[in-house]
Amino acid sequence: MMMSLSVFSGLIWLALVLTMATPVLLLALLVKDFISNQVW
Amino acid sequence: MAETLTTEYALSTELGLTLVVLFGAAWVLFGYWLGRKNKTHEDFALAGRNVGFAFAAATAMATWVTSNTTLVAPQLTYQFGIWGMVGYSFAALGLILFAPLAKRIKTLLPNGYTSGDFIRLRFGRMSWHVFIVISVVYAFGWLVSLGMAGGILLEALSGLDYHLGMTAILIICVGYTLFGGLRAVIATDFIQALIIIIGVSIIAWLLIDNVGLDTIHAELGSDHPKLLDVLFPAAIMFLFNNIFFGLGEIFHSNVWWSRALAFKKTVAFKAFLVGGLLWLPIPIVTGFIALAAPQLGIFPPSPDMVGPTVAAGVLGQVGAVVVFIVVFSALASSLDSLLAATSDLVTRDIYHQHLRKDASDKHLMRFNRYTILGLGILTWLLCMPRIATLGALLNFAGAFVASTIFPILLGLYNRRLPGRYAAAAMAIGTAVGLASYFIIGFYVAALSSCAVSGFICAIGVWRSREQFDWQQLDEAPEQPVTQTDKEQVQ
Amino acid sequence: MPGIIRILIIIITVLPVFFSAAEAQHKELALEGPGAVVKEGYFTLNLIGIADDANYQQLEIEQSTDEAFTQVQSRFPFLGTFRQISLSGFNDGNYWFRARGLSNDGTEFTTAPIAVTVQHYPLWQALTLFGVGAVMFLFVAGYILLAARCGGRQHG
Repeated sequence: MMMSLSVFSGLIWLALVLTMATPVLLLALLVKDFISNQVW
Repeated sequence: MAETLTTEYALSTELGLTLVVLFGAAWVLFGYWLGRKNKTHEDFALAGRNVGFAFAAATAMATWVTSNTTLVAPQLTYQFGIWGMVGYSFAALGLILFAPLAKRIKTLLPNGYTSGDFIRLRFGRMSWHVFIVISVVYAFGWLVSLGMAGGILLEALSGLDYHLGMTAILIICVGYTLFGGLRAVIATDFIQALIIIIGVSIIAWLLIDNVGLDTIHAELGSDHPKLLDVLFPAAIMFLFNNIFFGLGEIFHSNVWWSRALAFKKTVAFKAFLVGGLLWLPIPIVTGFIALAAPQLGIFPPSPDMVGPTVAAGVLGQVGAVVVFIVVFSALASSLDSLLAATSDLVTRDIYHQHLRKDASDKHLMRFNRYTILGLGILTWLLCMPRIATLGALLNFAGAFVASTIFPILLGLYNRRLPGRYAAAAMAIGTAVGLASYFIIGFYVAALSSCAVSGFICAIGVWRSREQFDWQQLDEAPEQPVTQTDKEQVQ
Repeated sequence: MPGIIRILIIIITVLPVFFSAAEAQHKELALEGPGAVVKEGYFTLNLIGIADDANYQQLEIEQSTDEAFTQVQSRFPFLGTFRQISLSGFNDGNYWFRARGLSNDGTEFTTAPIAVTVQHYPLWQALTLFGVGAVMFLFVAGYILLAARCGGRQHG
């Protein structure tokens, strides 16, 4: 049973978008920790 | 493109060496700068037990990224197709399921140091011996294979001599771990995580842009149909074994326990949960890179080389630099974690508990540093001859680590599991896992090991009349020195 | 992730690449494939018997359904100077492979064809193992969720 093109593209795009959001989220969290002096 | 493929190496040796030296110097200096804060052994080994949410989530994710996500996810995708990459991303479940355990660990062992501590206090000496054997086999196998992978990959990408590349990556990781301790490991993990994610995103984005998802899908469908098959038998068989392998790795390894103990108490649970969720899509992105290979006419000599080869092939020199940095970061982020966690295990569980019970805090910190250096040198010696047979011997680590899943779980949550059953579960589980690996195949080693070990634990719980007192896990009174030192620092 | 196995597989598979050249001298040019029936749909082919100084051009693997290669179905170029190639994603069936290329002096050559049989595991077997794994996993996950809820309360 072959995976269709639309499912395939959807999967890859979803993963890529989520992955690209990660650095933004991590940096935002770090800034938040930094402001509240909770880094370490 | 044909031209880039026929040249022997994607990068010149000089450029490769320059990148290694630049990154190496930056990380060692960074580690030195972070290490100035370390006053006590607890600071050095556990970053003062006060790591905040951002660093905690990033280090959980980055350590799990490792070289595997950048090299093995493409390999498995090349071999098992869709299920390879989706199945590989399910390994995030290991991190996610460890989240409640991390919270529990922080509660039960507020003053604990290592996973070995827990096994000794909860199950006694016999289990501890079995556990240490499993831990050491796993940690050394991983250390040596990372060192060797570093040397081989630097050579494959830039022609840099294997011994030189392997030595360089070991010196760099030992260097900043030695100066900075866990604090340096966690901070570099954060940066390495960003580099890895941005790097693989760029490569995947450019691949979609240059080649197109529809073209890739069509090529796979006509020439490599099994890769798109959602009912690919071998891939279906690989799936859960891989998940149990991952669970075993995370649940037992001091790499993860030391992180749980180092995080702030309120942070431990959500850091592992978020780290796991953030990790989930990454193997799909890196794995996808491999699926573009047939369309690009790239057929690697061995499946593990497919990721770097495709990236370097399609993006030329720039792509090769990105791949080089990403792979180098990924190797380093795992290597440093392993060095730190294994040296803690040796310092705390073997030296402090067995050889020098009266060792002072300063003494332990010094010993911990010597251990990191010693582990680095030992790893270097084992990597020197490129012993493939050692690799072959350690090929079945899944059988070892999966046998620890139930003893750890029940040890943390159930009062009744006695130590002798835990020891038997780990020993017999490992033996059965190894046997099934050789008799049946790779896809049952972790599964059968976990099943047998779980069965023995169930008998233990059923027959036992013991009621373990959780207070015994908190060893606080034994280390008044550490406690007061700690308060002074704060 | 499943650290050791994966990386060690990498090392084991890459290693021969670096050593193969020396061993291969003075042998007749031939293609080597998997010794047994392939159950996973992926396999590695090796071109052996090339002298060190040989500089072959346009080296590639040809694939056909019959030994006579009446119709070449696919062509897979070797990567760079490597003499080993990994192919994947094959359905059940019999496949014939041979290597083709140009030698130093420009003469074209092909190696003797070799057969590779791909026979995937039966689906019921795969799904049974999948089922066993799924049940075990649900058990572990369920236990953790339940225990985390009760255990936390008990202790705190």
